[in-house]
Amino acid sequence: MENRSVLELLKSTLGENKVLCSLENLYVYGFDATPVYRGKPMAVIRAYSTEDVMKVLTIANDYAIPVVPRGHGTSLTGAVIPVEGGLILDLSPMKRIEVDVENGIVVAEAGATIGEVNAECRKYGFFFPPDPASAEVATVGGALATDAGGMRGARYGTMRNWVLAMKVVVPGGRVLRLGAPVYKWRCGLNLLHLFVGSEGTLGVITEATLKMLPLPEKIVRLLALFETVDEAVTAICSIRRRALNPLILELLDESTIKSVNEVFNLNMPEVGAAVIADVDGPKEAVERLGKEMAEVFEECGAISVRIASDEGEMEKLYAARRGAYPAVSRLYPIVLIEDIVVPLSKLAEAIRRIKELSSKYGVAIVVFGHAGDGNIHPCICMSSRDEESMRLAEKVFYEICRIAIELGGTVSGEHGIGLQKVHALVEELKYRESSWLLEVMREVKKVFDPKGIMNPGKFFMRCRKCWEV
Amino acid sequence: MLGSVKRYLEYCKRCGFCIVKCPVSQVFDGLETFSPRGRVLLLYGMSMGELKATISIAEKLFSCTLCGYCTIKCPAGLELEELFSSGRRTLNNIGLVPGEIAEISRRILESGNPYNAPLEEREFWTNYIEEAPRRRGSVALWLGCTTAYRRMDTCAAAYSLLKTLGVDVAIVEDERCCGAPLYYAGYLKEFKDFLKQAIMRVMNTGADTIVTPCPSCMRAFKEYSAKVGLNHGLKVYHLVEYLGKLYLVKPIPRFELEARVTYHDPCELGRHLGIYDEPRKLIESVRGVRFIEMNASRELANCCGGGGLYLAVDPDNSIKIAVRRLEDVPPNVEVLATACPSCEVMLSIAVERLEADIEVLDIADLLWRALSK
Ligand SMILES: Cc1cc2nc3c(=O)[nH]c(=O)nc-3n(C[C@H](O)[C@H](O)[C@H](O)COP(=O)(O)OP(=O)(O)OC[C@H]3O[C@@H](n4cnc5c(N)ncnc54)[C@H](O)[C@@H]3O)c2cc1C
Ligand code: SF4
Ligand code: SF4
Repeated sequence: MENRSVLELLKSTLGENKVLCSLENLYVYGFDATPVYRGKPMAVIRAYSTEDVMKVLTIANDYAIPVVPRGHGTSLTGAVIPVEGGLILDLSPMKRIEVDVENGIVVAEAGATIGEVNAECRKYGFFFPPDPASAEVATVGGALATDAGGMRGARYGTMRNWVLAMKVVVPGGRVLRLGAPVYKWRCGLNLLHLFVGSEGTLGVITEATLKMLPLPEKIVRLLALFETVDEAVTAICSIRRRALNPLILELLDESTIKSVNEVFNLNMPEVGAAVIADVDGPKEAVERLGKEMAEVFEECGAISVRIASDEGEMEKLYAARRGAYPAVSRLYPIVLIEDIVVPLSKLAEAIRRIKELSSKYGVAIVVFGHAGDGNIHPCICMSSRDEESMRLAEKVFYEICRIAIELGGTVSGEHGIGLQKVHALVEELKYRESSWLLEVMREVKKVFDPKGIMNPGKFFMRCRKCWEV
Repeated sequence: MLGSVKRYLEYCKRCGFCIVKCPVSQVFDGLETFSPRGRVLLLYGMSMGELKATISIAEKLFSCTLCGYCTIKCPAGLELEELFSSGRRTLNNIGLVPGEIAEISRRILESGNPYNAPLEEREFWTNYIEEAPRRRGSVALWLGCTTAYRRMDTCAAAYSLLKTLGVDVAIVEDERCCGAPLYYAGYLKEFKDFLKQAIMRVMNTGADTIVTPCPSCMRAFKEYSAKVGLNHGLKVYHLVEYLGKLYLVKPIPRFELEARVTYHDPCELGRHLGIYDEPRKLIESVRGVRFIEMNASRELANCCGGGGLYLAVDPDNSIKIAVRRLEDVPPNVEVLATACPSCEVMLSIAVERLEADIEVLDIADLLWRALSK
């Protein structure tokens, strides 16, 4: 059947208003938050219900049309780019959220944002722990499909730790109900977690049952400044070894501090590194923990340690971390953000080697991230998008991935593989002598998606159009 | 023109932080082409020669209230509503303007106001005051079309308040549109002509100061004038700002009114002009008033849906936005005050739609009522 006829069929099945084919829609839905990748779908489908998704996956499967599920397109890896055309399945209209206080769960449709989920939980005195920096816009479906994490990852891990059940539609239109809305569930293979982080390559998440937690009574925030990254990392490791259980443990290197000073006039001392830490819990306990943490920072050579005295100061101490990405965004038109994880013991070495790359290639690399779990975001910053600059950026990008692999880490802690890290994934698996795992993944995919229509050209399928380094 | 913003557009990281709170994006259930990020991409596509400018793209750029919420969300620091205004101008220059916008502009050019109302009706409001208004004074009260034609009580309240407070106030003879809608529509030359005439009319009163209850008019005199090279030297204030200043030097008269009041920050007065405190201080100065902050206020106030000529382009969705804004009103509020005639009109329509038991008032009306009491 010709594409035009498939579109007519989609229109007659879903309704004209849900199938968009105008040039400007096709153009706009061809981007995500990466500076490199572009695609062009043949149509954009707006899903308002699981039934809509079922209809789309039935027709798409019948006629072998690629389908790329999409939340809000904030992927930093090209994961949502329709490289092989086909349909963009926009789930952002599906926004229903229901909080179940008694059972400590929240049920959300795929298009609700993490921020909206949190706002709903807050009404009842709860919060949803994973907090990607993009929480205000990242959708539940997108965050689950990328297994997103965030600053509170130091304590709470990533999305997979907070999902109990999901409704997923697979090619052919069948609905899988994975997991159960209870806190423990052991029934055969864990297919629920198979779909978490699958980046839209197996099926479409339409609804998720998530765990939530009561809001902490109090949070204490500290800012510690160090002469060197090594000292800061030593302090982070030291804190990790004690029963301080930080909520967040964030690192900013000197180039980050300089960038936020330049853009936001924060007047922070331009020292080698800064660490921001939060502890939470009952009032009396956190005040003691905050003091103990300050002592650890001092023992590890901090030049200064500040404990915020009120909400205003907490916000101020946090301004540098919050401003990190905006600052580089304002200073450079092109920012390639990495997402590597290394063992904590190797963090200082990783940052040192990244800085060497920066000098070697004369490229600005700003490093900040969730150092508490060894996950950092080196940002390769370019002033121009000409071909030479982009090639250089790609080269540096891959060298940073290699540093992570060689230090026993991984190329992605939370953003995922998408298009951007296809080669890095291959290298990482090769390094671990596990290349055959790609084959296993392909076989698993075939079970749910025998025709290969789900988000084709992505992480475990070599893509003709992806980067060659 | 778009070529010249190409570099600027490259700073957009497509992070999407701007899309979630965009009122237009919300009523389109997040459809990208009606979101700020989508509009940036449409401009980018045209600037790169990858998209051909069409009337359909123009409709997307005109489907925006220019509320500026996206700008405060943008980590890359892009001045988005400014960018969208300049995009509108570019499209207008090549004749791509939605029919409704062309129509409203034609009405302004022909009748001197967007409502096609006869000029003599502009001063009907003077029937609400006891004596004939003064035509010369050191402070010109510039009413603006929406206040003059649609909010006659506010005209009377503003004039009477200023007079009662001892201000040497005059109204502007033969006032017509300041041209702000033409600016939003992208007719820059016509805007300049209108603003020039407006400035001359103000100067004819002998005033060195303009006070207006309309934030759009205020921006035309204060901000857009410089953009078209009209440097007039007049001091320009919004009514609430001027009253706030006055209160610093004059004893506050005995305002009294028993009411639970909340305040809607107009986008143009708040996010664009940075005036947040004065309206609150004025409301709180009224004895008997219990002021309750609205949900989503100050910089984070949600739009009423009427700005940027959006009401003309898409009245249904524009009103939907106003209805959504009412959800931010705390329970048990009796008066929803604001300081912009367009917001007052939009919110009043929403109240009517919902049959809500709440009165929408301009601060001038609220104060005048409190004073007369
Ligand atoms: C400024 C910025 C900061 C960020 N910070 C963080 C951070 O701190 N931590 C972090 O982990 N990530 C971060 N990200 C990356 C990104 O925001 C997250 O990966 C986010 O979870 C993606 O959500 P989305 O709704 O935008 O998904 P999209 O970008 O639309 O999609 C991402 C992937 O998920 C798939 N997908 C989307 N919805 C569904 C669905 N319903 N069913 C199946 N598959 C689906 C897509 O096909 C694609 O493969 C950041 C991004 C930006 C721009
Ligand atoms: S917030 Fe700014 S950088 Fe992000 S998508 Fe919107 S315009 Fe682009
Ligand atoms: S100015 Fe307001 S309406 Fe226009 S794009 Fe920005 S947020 Fe949306």
